[in-house]
Amino acid sequence: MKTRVKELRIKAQLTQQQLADLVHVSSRTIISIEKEQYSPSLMLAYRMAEVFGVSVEELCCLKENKELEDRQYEDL
Amino acid sequence: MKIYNKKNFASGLFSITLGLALLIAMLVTGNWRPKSVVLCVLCLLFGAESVTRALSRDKAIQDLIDQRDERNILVALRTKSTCFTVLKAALFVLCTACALGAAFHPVEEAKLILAGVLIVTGLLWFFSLVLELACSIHYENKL
Repeated sequence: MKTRVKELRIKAQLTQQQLADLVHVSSRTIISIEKEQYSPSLMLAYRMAEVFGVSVEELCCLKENKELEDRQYEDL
Repeated sequence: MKIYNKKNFASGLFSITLGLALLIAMLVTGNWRPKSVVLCVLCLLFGAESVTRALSRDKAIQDLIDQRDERNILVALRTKSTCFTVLKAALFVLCTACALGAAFHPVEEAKLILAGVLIVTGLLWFFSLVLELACSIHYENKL
């Protein structure tokens, strides 16, 4: 799932480890989220959104991801 | 001295106990096999590391985060699931091979051996099916 985690993290001048410590996960999880290999849980997304001062919808690009999913269903 | 991670502390103590028991056994019997020496050293090192981590607040927090990390939990679940699926498939293939071997092998003794292996692998395969069904029913009700 596409997210704005990397963009917002760099803007906030945080390292992956610092962000991981703030949201109580391992740095490997942050790396996977930024590489779009792993989708964060609702609670993790909320914690990260709080750190960056944005909404969960903005952080996880929910509108964009929903449109992408809808297109996949239409193509079936 | 405060124990921040009881589970790691217990496993560390257990490993140290194992290592010491092995060391004492080797001292008493005078039998110093390389494999035993390596195992003893590994047990003691692992045990010491676990106990040290359990007594350190920062390291215990790090271990707790790693244990509760959602991605690590997912990786562990997927690993176990894939492992079980592959094992089930391997048992089925082995069963089939043993059945064919027991039916068509020219040597009678080999047929008996293959039949014995077929029974064991067949039972294991059947048990894995029943176990999967039981787990499925359990989680269907729970989640």
